Amino acid sequence: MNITKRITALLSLVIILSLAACTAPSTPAPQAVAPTQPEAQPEATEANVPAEVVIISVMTNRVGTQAELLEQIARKFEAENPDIKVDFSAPGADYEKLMRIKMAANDMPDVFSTHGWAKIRYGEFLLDLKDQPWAAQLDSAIKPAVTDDTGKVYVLPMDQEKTGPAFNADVLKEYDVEVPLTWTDFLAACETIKTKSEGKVTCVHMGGADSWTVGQYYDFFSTPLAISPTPNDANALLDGTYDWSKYTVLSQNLLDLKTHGYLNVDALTAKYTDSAAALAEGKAAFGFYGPFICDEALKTNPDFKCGIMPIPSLVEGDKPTFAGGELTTWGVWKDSEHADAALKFVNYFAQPENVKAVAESNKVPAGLTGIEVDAGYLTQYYTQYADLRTFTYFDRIYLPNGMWDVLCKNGQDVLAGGITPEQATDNIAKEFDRLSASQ
Amino acid sequence: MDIVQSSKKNPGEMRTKGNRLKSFFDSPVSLNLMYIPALLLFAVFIYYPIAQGIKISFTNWNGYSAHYSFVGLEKYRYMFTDMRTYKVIINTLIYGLGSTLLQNILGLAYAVLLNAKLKGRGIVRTIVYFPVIVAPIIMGYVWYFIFQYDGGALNDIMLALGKEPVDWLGNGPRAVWLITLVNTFQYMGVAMVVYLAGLQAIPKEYLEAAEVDGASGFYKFIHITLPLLMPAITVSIVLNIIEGLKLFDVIVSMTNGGPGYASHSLSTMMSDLFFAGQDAGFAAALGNLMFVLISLFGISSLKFLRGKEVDL
Amino acid sequence: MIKIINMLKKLMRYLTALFIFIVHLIPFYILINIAFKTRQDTSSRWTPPNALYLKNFSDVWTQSHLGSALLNDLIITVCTVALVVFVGVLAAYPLARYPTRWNNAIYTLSISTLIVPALTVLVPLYKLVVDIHGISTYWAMVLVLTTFFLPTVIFLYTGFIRTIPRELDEAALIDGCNRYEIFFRIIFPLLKPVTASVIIIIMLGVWNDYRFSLFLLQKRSVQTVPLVLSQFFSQFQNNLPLAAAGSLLSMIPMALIYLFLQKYFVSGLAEGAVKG
Repeated sequence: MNITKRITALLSLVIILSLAACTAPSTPAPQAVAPTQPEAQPEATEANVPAEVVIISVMTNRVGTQAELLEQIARKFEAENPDIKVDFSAPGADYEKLMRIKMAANDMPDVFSTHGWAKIRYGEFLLDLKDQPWAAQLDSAIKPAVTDDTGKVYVLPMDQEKTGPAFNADVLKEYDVEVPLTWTDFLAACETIKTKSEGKVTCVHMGGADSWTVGQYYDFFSTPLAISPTPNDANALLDGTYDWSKYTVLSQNLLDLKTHGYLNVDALTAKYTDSAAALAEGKAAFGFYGPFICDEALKTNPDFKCGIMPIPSLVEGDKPTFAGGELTTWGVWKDSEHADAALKFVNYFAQPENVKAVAESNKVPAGLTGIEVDAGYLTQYYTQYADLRTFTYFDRIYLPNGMWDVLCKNGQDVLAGGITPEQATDNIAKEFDRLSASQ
Repeated sequence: MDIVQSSKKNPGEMRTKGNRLKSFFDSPVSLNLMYIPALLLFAVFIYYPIAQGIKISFTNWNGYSAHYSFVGLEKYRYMFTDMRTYKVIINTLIYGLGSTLLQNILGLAYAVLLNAKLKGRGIVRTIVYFPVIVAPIIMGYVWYFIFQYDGGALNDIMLALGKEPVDWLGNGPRAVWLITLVNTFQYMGVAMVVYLAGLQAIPKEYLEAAEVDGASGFYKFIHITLPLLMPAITVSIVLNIIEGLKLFDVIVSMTNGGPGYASHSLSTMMSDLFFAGQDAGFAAALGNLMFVLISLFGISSLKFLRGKEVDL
Repeated sequence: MIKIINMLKKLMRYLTALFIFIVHLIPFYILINIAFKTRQDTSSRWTPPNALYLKNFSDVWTQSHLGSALLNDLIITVCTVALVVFVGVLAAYPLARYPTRWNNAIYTLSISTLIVPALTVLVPLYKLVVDIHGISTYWAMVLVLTTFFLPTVIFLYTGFIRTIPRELDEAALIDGCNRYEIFFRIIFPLLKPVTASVIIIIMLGVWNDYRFSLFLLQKRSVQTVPLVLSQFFSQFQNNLPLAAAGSLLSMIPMALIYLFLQKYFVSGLAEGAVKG
């Protein structure tokens, strides 16, 4: 009976609590936040919010200090616009998943980040921003990535990537290695590092368990392969006449890195964060990533000397390049019910001091012209390579939507020995045709 | 008993006008009203979405765009001709049946051990059950840190023993078995608790009587304990099979289906196709296949085991 | 002589139990190590931290508003458990007691619902919740979770109810109770032990739910602990010490409830679903 009494008591408590809690309004947090649809359910706690206040939902893929910065600016915006409240959200790793489901249900946030996919993925959900005050100030390097031939401006790019492989400057110094500017030089550098360190330091660290790191390699080197040299295959790719057998060299090079011992042994099971740790601890020299890895590595080792180099060229006589594209952006949902408030929000972020702050948090160039950015420890590299060309990430211009994953998975398979580089090319070509046809 | 029989024999007595309602509530049929709330919830939140979901498998939808077209059985054809599908089915079976086997054998063994009067058995039971309490995403990272090549706990031991570190998860088949082991470790606490309860439900008199008759411990176990444990075995095995075949979280945090596609289960492959591969149609077709496969194993094991239950 | 053998047997048992304890403790040991180390500490997973770095705990509490996440989790868990137990036990009674062909079909249907993979229904389900304005609300979350945990509850309860002798029903009938009164007055009180077990099983599933919460709870103010912890993991970042500290903190309520109900848990199952 003791047990029965206790369970009864517990159950009653549970039921009472649940009745109390379930009839409470859906948001117990201090700031009363009403749903963004105008036909809001009237709730008692919302009575103290004046009827004209508009609430916009804002979501970003950024996390950590970058997200905090964005939120800080959002709160300043709120302070200057008392009739607009911002529901800010930074879900982290599953941002993309969440966005896909929301797109499927046509339930987008009023303002959201597009992380490189403004035209290709989110395009049909974005409001045209060409009439906004800052539209004329788009930096020429980023302009092609966020506009199209009809003149539509898809998003506000606050900053832009200027990316090439990252390296550990101390490691290069220790083994007396110069930053390689061609692929041949790169392989030579790897050999030097491997020999001099007796295998203790890996030349390139790849966190292949996160398949995007493999795709990153392809994305980086597709440009020096097919776009940056003269003559190049840019047009061939665009009109579907590209000879894909030329692409095999990329898969072959990747495999060669592995067979020569220039790639970390656990390339297929290590994660991106392991690459950051390896670079930070001096266990690896290069990583096919961008400035973003510097930030992460510094968290493990504040003394880490991060360097950025341009992507080595593949073709004789060609110069190295940088990859560019969107980084932190804001787009407005074309079906938003608070488009005016959303636009105000976006325009607030377009102000010079805000653009500068965002770009500096990522140590990359700004997306609008006329804004000086202090890139901190990366400044020397941007200055050193200032006259090299920047090309938008290969896959965002020359590959149909859905190809990214194809590159990632086939690259993994090549490294795993499951398919040959030629077979990888076959798969890539097949998918290219299939996905291009269904666009 | 007689009274019951007589009231059953004269149902007509009950059915006067005023008693219609009362007689309705007296009959078993009225009880069927009790599962209507459950059915309503199922209908709204599961069956209606399922119907929509099935539709998706006949399209070439990419998972988010408003534009797509119907492609008939194309996705099913693609699924059945893709070699990956069969590899993934095999993996799923290993995860489901392998985990269930291990979890139940170990769970039973643990239960038998920890049912005896040992001091501190409560603590041991609790620690065995604890992985169930931790959020899967965190446990996933803990396991990753154990199997990691560079700096992982297991490789530290290997180095300490003077051996070379191993890329544990780098080999497809090995990864599948490691994941099965981890899954077992994670959820065997549940099996253990179910069996503990089952063991405690066995009336002591049966076991004592057998001992008086001179039965050995082993004999008692096989002929008395096990048969009376059948209901526990049913519950544990059926739930484990279904959960094992649906395995998702452990795989994602340890290998994310890799290397390549080597360790995907139907569940993770479906998710990968939908979110990364942008092929919602294929994902939906795979989901339907998964449903059929799991139903087959789940329901047939349920029917089989229920049939073996012994009535006291 | 026999005494020595018995003592040896006991020793073997203790040693085996100790071995099991240590082996199962390993993941926790590692988790605790991570939670107390700084991000810069790259020492082996086996070595304990030099100093107990408590800042991880305070940081995760403030940065992720863990307090409010815990409260949200608690509210949703309590509501869901209450609802699913109520609806489940109601549904289980006729299915267990009166195995007509129709009822058996419904029973099989319920069990097959357990098999439905969440992703199959995700997109249409999400759309449905959007249409009924349920996104980021407690009630929609509770209803969805209830629906998905219902099959397990029904499965457990039907097993148990079958073991309650029918004579009790008959006796009550004689006493003039109608069927509903039989259920509420006689059967229901007997279900308390198994209810404790069901509560524990469901409670943990709801508390740690991620795959539905991710999509249905988008506003920060209603997010639960697993969501909040996942914000420390992104494609490019990975603040594991904070996440580890956060998960340890969030384990405390569940561990407490588990320990409290543990007695009833084991005995509940014993008196119920698994009795032959």
